[in-house]
Amino acid sequence: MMVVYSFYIFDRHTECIYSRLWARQDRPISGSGASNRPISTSSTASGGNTLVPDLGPARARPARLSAQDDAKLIFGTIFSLRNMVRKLGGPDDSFISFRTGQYKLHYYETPTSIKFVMLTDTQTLNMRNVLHQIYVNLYVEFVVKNPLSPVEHPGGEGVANELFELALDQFVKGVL
Amino acid sequence: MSFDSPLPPYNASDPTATFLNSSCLDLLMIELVPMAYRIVNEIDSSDPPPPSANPSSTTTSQAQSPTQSRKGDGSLKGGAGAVGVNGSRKMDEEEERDAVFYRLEMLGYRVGQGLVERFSKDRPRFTDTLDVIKFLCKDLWMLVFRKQIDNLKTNHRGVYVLTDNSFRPFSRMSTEAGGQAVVKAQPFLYFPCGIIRGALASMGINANVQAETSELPGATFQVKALVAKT
Repeated sequence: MMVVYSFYIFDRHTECIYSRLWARQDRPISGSGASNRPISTSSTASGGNTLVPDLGPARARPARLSAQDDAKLIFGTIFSLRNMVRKLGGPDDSFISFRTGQYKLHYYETPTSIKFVMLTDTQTLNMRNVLHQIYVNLYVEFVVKNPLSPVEHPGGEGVANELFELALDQFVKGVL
Repeated sequence: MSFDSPLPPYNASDPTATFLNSSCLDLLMIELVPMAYRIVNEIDSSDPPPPSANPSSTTTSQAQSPTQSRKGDGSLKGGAGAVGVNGSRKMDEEEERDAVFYRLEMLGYRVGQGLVERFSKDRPRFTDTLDVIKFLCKDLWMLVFRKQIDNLKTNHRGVYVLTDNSFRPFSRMSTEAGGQAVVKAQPFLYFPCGIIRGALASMGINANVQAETSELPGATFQVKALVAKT
């Protein structure tokens, strides 16, 4: 049963223009578990998770990072990985996904340098097609072709509009 | 989306027709409105030459125009804040909106005239104003917006109300919650108003056209025919 944890969009200026959390990744120790309430933040909102479980003094794991820091971390990771992949495998090779013990990160970059990142559980198969669909059917339709959304999106302006969020929700729930 | 050309049978009924990807038209119409705002603001900023006409003042007005580049449709705030530096006349929002309306409406007027010339050539003469309006609702709307007007009301005294329940330019329009989309959508109705007025004018009907939207994606156009076609 596939679980989607979160979704990020980065623009060609390396800024996070959209981020969406559906479920917290299950931390083995954490008592709060997965919260299924969708929390949507644009990168300008500080929107950190306030439910930090009461960790014992022996805990070395850092407290849950804020959404903004998450996005920055993720961007740094995919940027480095993407460059390394191109250096090792040639300019036609592309970075597709990586998997850890807790999650799998899927990556899709458009020819216009817009980067789509999705974090799912470890069992999920390749989501590259899904990310492509999101780009073509949701991002292009509801953001690029939205008369009220600007051409560039500094601070995520114009991306998190109602139609896009609704459609994204429906799409992801349909995929699951 | 397709890069293939449509097959020949599609323009069999109108051999001079050519095809254009509708995304091109959509994007062009989207860009019309911010462009009109930029032009209006630029003209206003360079309009009365500043009292000290030196190169530095022209470069400041140049530098300001990029900052008025497309910002959603909050270009109202770009207009209001413009050109305080030069000491030239600062346009308020009303005047800016009127200037933009005039530009877009006249653009649409010309387009409407041309459209009617091009696409009414195979039709029989229209018998009265109502016929003309029906042509507008069915054929012209289909050409420009790929659908027909959903509802036509008239008081038989020269006033017609055209309602489109899912106006194409509004189909992808949204803001984040509470973003006043209806207010921001208003300028995108000016160009279609002009198309209607131009189309009617080239068929001999002088009319006043106003448009409004109460809820996206619907739009309502009010046509007041000033001179009844004889």
